[in-house]
Amino acid sequence: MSSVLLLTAILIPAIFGISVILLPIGNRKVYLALSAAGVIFAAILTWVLIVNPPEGSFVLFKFVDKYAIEFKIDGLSRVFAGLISTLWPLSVIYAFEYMKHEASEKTLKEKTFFGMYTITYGVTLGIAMSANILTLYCFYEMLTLVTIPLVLFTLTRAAIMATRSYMVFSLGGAAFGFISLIFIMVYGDSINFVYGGVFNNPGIDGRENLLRLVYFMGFMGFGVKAAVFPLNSWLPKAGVAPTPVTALLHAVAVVKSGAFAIIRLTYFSYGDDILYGTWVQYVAMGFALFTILYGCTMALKERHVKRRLAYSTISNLSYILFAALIMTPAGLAAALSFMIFHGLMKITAFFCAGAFITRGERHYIYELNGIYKEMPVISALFALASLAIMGLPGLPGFIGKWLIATAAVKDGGFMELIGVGVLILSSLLTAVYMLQPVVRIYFSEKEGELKPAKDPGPWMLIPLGILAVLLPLVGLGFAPLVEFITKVAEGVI
Amino acid sequence: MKETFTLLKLNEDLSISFGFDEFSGIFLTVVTFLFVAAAIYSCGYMKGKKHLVSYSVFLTLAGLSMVCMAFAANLFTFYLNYELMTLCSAPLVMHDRTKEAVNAGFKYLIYSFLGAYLVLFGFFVLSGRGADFSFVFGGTDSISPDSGFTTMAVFFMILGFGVKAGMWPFHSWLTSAHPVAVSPASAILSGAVVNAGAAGIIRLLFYNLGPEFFAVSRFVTAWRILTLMTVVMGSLLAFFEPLMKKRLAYSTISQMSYILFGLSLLSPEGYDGALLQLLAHAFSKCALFMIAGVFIKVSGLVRVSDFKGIGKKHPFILACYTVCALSMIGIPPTGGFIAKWHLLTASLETGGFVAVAGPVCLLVSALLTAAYLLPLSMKGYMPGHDFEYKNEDKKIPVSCAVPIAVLTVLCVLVGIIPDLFLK
Repeated sequence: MSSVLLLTAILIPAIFGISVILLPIGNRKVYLALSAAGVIFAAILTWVLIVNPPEGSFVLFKFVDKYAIEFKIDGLSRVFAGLISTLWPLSVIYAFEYMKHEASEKTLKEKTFFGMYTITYGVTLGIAMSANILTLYCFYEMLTLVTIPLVLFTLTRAAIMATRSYMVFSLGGAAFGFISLIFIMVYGDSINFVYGGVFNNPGIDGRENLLRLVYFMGFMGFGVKAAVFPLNSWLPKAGVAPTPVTALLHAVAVVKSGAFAIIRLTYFSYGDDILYGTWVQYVAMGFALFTILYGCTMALKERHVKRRLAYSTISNLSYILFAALIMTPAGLAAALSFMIFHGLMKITAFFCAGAFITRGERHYIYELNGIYKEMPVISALFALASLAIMGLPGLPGFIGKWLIATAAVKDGGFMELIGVGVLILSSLLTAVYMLQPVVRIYFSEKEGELKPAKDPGPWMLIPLGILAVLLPLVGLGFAPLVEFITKVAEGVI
Repeated sequence: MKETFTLLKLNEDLSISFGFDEFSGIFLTVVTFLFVAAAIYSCGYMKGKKHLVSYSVFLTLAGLSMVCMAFAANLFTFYLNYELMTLCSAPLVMHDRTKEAVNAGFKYLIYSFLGAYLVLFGFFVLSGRGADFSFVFGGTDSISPDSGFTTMAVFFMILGFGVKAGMWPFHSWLTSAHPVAVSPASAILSGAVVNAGAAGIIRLLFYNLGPEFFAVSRFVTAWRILTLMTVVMGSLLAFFEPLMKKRLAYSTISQMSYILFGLSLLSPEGYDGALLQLLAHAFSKCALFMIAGVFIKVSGLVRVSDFKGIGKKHPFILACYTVCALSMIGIPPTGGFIAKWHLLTASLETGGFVAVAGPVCLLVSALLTAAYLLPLSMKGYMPGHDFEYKNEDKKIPVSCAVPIAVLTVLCVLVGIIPDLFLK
């Protein structure tokens, strides 16, 4: 495999996306097909690259001698790229039917949406395949920019406010990430991602605490996208975007890019040598643990279905961060596994919430009362996703929590043990906020005047069906996946 | 367990596997008798109610998950089915779809998951410490109780299973769920589902960690105090409770803690007492709830005082009620007597404060039990001279009477030939 294919995989969605926007195509089917072709073509190519990763890296261009835009696929890239390359095609297919509801008659608006949606895939792949922190940073900033039109889509006042908040938080956060980047450039051996970190030179003697502080800045900066408290208020607001955006970007791609960047920073730039067992580990962990509880509590309070799921995402993302911050291979493996499991579960839940919105105008939880009679398939899938998220054994959520908790107990520090308690408390809160809608769907009587609802058509049901099969499959047959991820986390792959 | 069948090996630590041993037999006896009885009872009781399909589906699924629980060969399999049982039994509570029923069912779910996650906490800690979760009588000795954190985690697991068994302070779901649930569902909840909690503790302490593991910890005293408190408190609250089904729910809380008390003694004698109490209580409480159900159905009333003179119309059912009540109190020849006798001996053998507090609490609770259960028998047969008999007899369907009778006989059998059930 030639390493130039890495760039190809990133460029394909971008080219297809730009042509969807710019070419004068009036026929809906044609531009849908075009964007789907871009996504699916790139996804297939990415999977080929994941299975046969090319040796070496591909340098796009050099700024100066040491600093280049460079792509490489390593174990971590394979995990993240695999996750998004599985979910992106499903989301595009889901969007075909969903967007009919959002943008009837407005071709240009819808074309922009599909174009940007496709481009975003390329940018996220860029994040996954970055070979150094500079490249990652560039694509990370680009991700913010290309997703702005998607959040802004409805052009309502709420959407504008949400976009403003998203922009301010993301760009501001990236600035802190930039400080971290500068320190890596100045003090690190190189800017490349090296398992175990790049601070192995004598130049850092006596500056460890400064570096830890800068790491913390980077953590919080990239933590904006991973929705660490107190920098997460943009995420629930961004729920005004169309569901394909909230489901894929705000539960998987964008937010997990944040978590991915933090993992890169922790394990591949700074390295556990200067972080493990120091104040910065515990402070960062404290923020992650607090966010877990904060997200759960807010989710419990929230009555809007999509916003509740968004708060749930905030909480679950911090599971990933907590696991990553254990700073052992087991912890990293747990973080990456939970990243995948959470992606599958949450996207299913969001797709169901989207179906409730398009097919029944149900936005709030109390509007879901007794809806199983009208939408039996979606109700069942929502129940499945809920049970998975709350951690029923046999579904992915349980295994994710099991991996995180055992990694934490094995490490055995004080914070880690508190973390296990927090995990359990948050599971209980999760059970409350996810079971409540399920109980309402199945056991409460319909109240008030509501439009009649019905199950969506095949374009929405097919992606959901695939996910519904994947959930128990992954929940029970996770062993090979986790084995692979463990090798990645140990630096073997 | 000697032979196990592994259905699915998830990874090195977690597998879904089944096996059969002595305790599986006991638990299976309880579950099968109770679910079959409830199913037969439902034929008569549920006539004319709505949502029968979902009722039968969830009753069957709950039964199935409990059977799987009995056959579980390791803690993970047990836990998996424990959660499934919770999820499948909640719809039975919410059966009527009224606001109260849904709220009570939701409360039941949340309390149960609180318990389940406390168990999960311990499960995580133990598996992080590298425990082997298979069931072997006397313990697997895979980890030692060296750190206080581990024993605390085990204590949390006991508390978690205690939620299902109605241990104070996690008992209140029982009294919310029972009055609104349909009667066969109450019978299942109080007869079978609560025993899943006791079974969990038995599996954990006697079949996985070994009784010695926990005996040395400080928490064991706390646990004994909690159970004894619950024994007395449950009886006391039952005594002051006018609603029939709610009174029985408090009675369940009290009686279940007899089992937990027996287990907390961590001695063979206490273990035997707990198993006998489990059997006797399951059969008699299931019967009592069925009886309460038919009384409520024929009279349309819900308070204990409303059932004055009911023995004149339904002498046979009230006789069954009396026998079960005697078992609850602990009067020979019923199963309750032999169980409580074992428990008393065990607590005297243990020595220390339980040698005093145990017998005192059990005695007080027995008196209170007599005081809250027997008045119905007396008033039922002897309503007094000024009682006016109304002539609106509704017949009790045979399909309701038969399971009641069978369960009552079983409850007596436990008292006469306990070895039949234990061996």
